Amino acid sequence: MEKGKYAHLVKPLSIAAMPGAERAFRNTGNADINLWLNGRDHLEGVELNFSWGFYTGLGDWHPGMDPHVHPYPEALVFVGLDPDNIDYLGAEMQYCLGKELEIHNFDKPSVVIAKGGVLHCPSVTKEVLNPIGYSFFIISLGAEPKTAWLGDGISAEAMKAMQAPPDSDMKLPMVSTFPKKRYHVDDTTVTYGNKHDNIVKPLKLLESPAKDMSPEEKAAYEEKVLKGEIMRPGPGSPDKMVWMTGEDLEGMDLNFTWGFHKKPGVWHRGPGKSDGRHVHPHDEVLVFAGTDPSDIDYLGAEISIDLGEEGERYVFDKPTAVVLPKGTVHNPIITRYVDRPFAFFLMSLAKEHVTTYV
Amino acid sequence: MPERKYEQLIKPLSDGRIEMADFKTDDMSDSASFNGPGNADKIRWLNGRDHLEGMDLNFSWGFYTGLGDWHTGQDPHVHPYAECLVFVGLDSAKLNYLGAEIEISIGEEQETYTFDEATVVIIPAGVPHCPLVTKRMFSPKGYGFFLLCLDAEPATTWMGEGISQDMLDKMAAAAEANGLKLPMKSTVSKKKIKKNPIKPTGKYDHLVKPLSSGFFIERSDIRKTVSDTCASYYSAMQQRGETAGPGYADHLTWMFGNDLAGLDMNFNWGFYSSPGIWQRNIGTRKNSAPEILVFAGLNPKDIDYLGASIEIELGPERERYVIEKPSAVVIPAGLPYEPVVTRWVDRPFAAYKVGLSGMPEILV
Repeated sequence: MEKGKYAHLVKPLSIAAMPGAERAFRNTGNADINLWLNGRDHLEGVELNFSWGFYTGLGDWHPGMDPHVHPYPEALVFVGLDPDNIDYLGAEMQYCLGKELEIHNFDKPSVVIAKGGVLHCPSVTKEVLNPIGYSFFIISLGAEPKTAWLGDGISAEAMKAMQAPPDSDMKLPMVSTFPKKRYHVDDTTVTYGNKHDNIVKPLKLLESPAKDMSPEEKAAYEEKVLKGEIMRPGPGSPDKMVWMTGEDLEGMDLNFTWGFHKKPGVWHRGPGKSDGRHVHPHDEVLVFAGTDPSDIDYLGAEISIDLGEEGERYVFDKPTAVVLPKGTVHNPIITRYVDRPFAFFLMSLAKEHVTTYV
Repeated sequence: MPERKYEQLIKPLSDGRIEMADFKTDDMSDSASFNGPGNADKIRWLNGRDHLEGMDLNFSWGFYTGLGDWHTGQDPHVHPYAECLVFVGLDSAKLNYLGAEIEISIGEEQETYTFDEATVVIIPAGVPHCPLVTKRMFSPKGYGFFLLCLDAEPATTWMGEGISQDMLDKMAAAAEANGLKLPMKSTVSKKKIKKNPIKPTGKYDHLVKPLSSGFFIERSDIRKTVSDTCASYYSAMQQRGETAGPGYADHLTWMFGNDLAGLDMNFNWGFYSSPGIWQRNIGTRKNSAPEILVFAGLNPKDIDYLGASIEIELGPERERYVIEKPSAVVIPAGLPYEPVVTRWVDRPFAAYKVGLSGMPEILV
């Protein structure tokens, strides 16, 4: 662990590793391996918990346990692992939504938006087409992961195993409850309507700000870019990037990105003399993740990020989350080398991504 | 911004701006001010006394397109220190390309050597040299040239028949009138040498070395065959676990003391076009001898344009400096530095590193 005033904001994803996790979901569609960090234990109290994992298995992710519900909203993001094709998921998914147990299918990178209290799952992996599988990350807007399991197939033994012993101070990574009202999910109880179409969305690529401009506006815009008055992507930026805001996410107080980074260099140039340094009026977490499913602790790149007014530099070459409480000056980010394309997603806890360069 | 401890070690090459016209008055002949038709279109010249924190080095960087003698009538000349004259091309895809044909006379005998590829000419202290003549120009953008002189103060004794002490005094006065001080301490030798170039006998062959003899990196990989000194340095790199990062040179030549007639100097010269770190697994390093690292642009139309953004960390505090103009970084002996990271590149650029020892000695 690096020393420094902001070292507590730089979190290797491995701090959430749990021994034996790779065996937890055998013979299910759930993760081969995943890491799940939360605001309570890892993210400096930020109202967020998120996961990152690799998936190759077929079938229900939580057999007999679903549907389930959380007290907070969450976005469930399904992404592929082909850095040359961000539109490729490499899997066929089935998702069950609402008390109607409405079935939805998708085979493109997608986000499922589940507001607080909305029933969701079972999540079933129907087919895996990419030989290395796919990835998935949860973005949940609560510091402490909490789930109420509503499936009628949970054994008493399983319930006991998912709860802390009575009179114990143990903090489980997931606080599970088991309400009395239960749901049975099978072919006879699921439905096939369109009520929840709006909460299953293909990931949306960020488009050039000049896309809808007139030729004159575009010329003026490009001149400003050339003069460095507007931030422009540096060589370390991805060729394509997903960016979804609260407007895309049914009003969630969240905007997030997703992309593959393949090249070294600075991520942002300018604007002006800012050197890319900026702040947000909202909390944000940046996640740098590897794309090698055989080693979740491998990033395949070396990255530096400067934090605080002082520009304290932090350098890492392992999968890492950087926690940025609102108002924390950050950047530039510079990719020093890339041995294997890596993934990056940011989660900003506001509908709109508001940035002030400093 | 906190106080910067090493700011003085970052020197924009523009600090060494020299405009020959500033040293001339209307009554001077065209040959005055050391500016023959073959001399630089644009030049920057920094020296240890005024710019490089007392380092025993003065060096130049310039662009050249003219044909003819560089110092009409003033040569040969001599310095009290050794120097390397490095002639390089501006084709960032081809390190060996010079794009011109150059002729230089060496020794009192005025043995005249001609070359048309990137070349270093080594001049030991006290050896008369020049005239230096650009005979032919092939490149549409000219070529580049840099001097590496092993003394803090540029000093020259002119031995040609076309220069007098009176002319030097006039130039000094003209410079003073323009608020300048002549960077070069010039004297006129009592002994004059009449211009009389002769064919080379081979006596000075060892002082004219194609840069290809030191090729080290080609197309971003260590070359399959390298000089003995490069092989020795590469072996030391491997022992330290260093590997080239993505930001390091596409093409690079490295000449060591053994390649440079035993001078206490080594230098490399390379072209760079990619962002990223220059050396992996290096952390910080410190050398037993002082070094400079020079970042130079390749646009002859604008000598103050670099076309890239590069950062370097200096000192045990790892103070970070970002360089976006042609600049030299002075690295005193024992000062930790690195990593160097190229942030972005708009146009390929050049860099040369000069160390004041025959072989870099990395201190642990």
